[in-house]
Amino acid sequence: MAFLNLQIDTNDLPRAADLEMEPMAPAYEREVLTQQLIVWGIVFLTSIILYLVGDKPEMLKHFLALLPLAALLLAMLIIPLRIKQVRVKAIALREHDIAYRSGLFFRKTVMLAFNRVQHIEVTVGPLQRRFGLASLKFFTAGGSAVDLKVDGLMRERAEQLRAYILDRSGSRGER
Amino acid sequence: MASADPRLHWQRTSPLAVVFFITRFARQFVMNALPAMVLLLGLAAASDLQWPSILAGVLVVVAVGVSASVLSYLRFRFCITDDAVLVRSGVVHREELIVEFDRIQNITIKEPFYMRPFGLALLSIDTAGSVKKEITLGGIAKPLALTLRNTILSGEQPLTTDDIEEPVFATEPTLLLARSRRDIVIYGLTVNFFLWVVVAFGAVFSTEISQTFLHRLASRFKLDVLLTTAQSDDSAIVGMLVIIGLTLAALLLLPLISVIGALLRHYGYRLTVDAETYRKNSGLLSRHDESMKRHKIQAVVWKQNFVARWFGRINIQLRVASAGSGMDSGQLQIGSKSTFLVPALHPAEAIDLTAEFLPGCQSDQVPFSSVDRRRYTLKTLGRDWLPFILGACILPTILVSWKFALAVPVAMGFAWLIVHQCWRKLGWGVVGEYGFVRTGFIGTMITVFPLFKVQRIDICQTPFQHRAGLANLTIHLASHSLTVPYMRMQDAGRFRNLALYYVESTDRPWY
Repeated sequence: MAFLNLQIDTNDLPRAADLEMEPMAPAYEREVLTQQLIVWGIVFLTSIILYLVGDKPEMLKHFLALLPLAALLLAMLIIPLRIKQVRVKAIALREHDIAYRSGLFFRKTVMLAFNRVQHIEVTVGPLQRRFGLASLKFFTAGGSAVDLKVDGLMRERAEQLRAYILDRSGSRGER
Repeated sequence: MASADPRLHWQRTSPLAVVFFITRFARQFVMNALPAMVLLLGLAAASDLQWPSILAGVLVVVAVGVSASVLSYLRFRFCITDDAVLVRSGVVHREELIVEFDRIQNITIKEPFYMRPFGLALLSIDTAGSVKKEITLGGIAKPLALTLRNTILSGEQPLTTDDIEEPVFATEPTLLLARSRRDIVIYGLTVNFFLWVVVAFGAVFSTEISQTFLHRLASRFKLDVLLTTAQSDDSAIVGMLVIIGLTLAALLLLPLISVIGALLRHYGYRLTVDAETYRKNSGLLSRHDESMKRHKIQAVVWKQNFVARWFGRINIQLRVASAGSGMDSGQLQIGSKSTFLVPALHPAEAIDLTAEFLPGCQSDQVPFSSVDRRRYTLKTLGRDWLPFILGACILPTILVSWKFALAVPVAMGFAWLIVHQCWRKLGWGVVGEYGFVRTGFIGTMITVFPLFKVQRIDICQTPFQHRAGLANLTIHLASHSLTVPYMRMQDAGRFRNLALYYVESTDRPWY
């Protein structure tokens, strides 16, 4: 193979920063909200049970009475943040790669070229099933276990994306 | 299942392979069970157990080790097909492994001293899938090992017989590099920076430590002369010199051990190339013969610590795809063990060889760009150093004296010097189709990688970085990942666009 070394004007290259990002499915917000309500509901109930059950010294009782209140306050703080975090998440598909944006405070954009994808996994959790959602996991070489995990896709969309990307990932698709 | 095919020719290794299994068992035993054994022995010594029973216990362990090794040998079979190596192994837990030729990253033929007289060798196959799943055929005839290697690397005719006399080379290999004894000694001195830190640290603190140590030693062995020499006021200087001399001699043993290790492993180092395949051959007692194809190289890493800098030498590592490469989806990266070493190079040799490993790479003309100095320094000092220094000073300040608080600005001053030096070394650059990342403190590490082999690119911004137009760029290669912090966002974006362009516009295989 002849070796070529052409000069490339980096200003003319396709710019990944100008992508129009597509937010996740609206059902994802509902799923995260449900999940958060379940988690905080459990925390709240446990704190109430702790307060009610058994004989305790007066001091401890006062302290335990504060726990459900603290749980409520924390839930009111964290749930909106989790929802905001969901709203930040977005993907963009180009002809040869996928971009995934995430992170409320630490904004991260991952770019993954289709021809570096080793295989793709679609996973559906119990709560996701209820909302018709799925997660898409991409595996590439050398990195950690999962290189890119995209949550909050409608099930059909996830399957469609998997087929689309595997089609473009060359011969080294899912094995 | 393919392995059940009766046409497959399953082979056994030489009985001498038992020695290989015993050494492997011993190594695993030392790594896994030694702390427990020490504890047990301590308990045994503390109780009224007699030495014969302890000895019996040790003998049982040795007997178990030897019989497990013999069983492992008996249960081990391998088979070479048109495009894969098959291995059956395991005593209790049977395992069958199939490794396709195109998954193989590099091949090492080792001739341990106990196999050399019998013309036997060990063949190790490193796969991209996992470091743990490395296959070793211990104790096969050397010509068979060589032929196997050629077959696997060229992907040509399968082996059907195990009585091959001479390996066949397509062309005569070209010698790229040979290292003399002197070069290997220099490599031994430069390989481990930490060793010199210990030596320096030891030299500084030698007086006090050695005085206590010598005292004990002298009183134990009744070396009154030494003791009086060290104590007497008249000959205080002589005593001090004796102590420092002895400590330094003890400390200098460390580099000596390192040099001996390097000589054992890399004596007679020769690097050759045959078409696209690199081979390195080295070793004093046990010969190591390692092969790797050019297109498997994911990155070339130049390492020069301050000792190497003093000698004007550079050690080069060739990195290939490492563990957790996605083939086995549940695996975590175990480490970058998969390296191919080129030791103690002069700068000109390093430049020429880099151009050989990565065709067209001009590593002598890299315009390194630095990152944002002010914010990099502020963040590193504030996040990494300040909590550490405050933590170290706060207790003595409260408990002992307020004067310890004065140590904070002094320590921060030193920390600033270190961080500033690290900032000066930190840089990135692009020349042609190759990316460069430089890091270091006193020494330097430069990683060169073909942009088209990039696996994934992340750009991460904290809110502060976002406001300042900065970002952290993380480049994931199949061998390892590199992060350039506090780049200008514009540069990070351009770097990403360029890398993606190379990745997406070529069909060249990256693996």
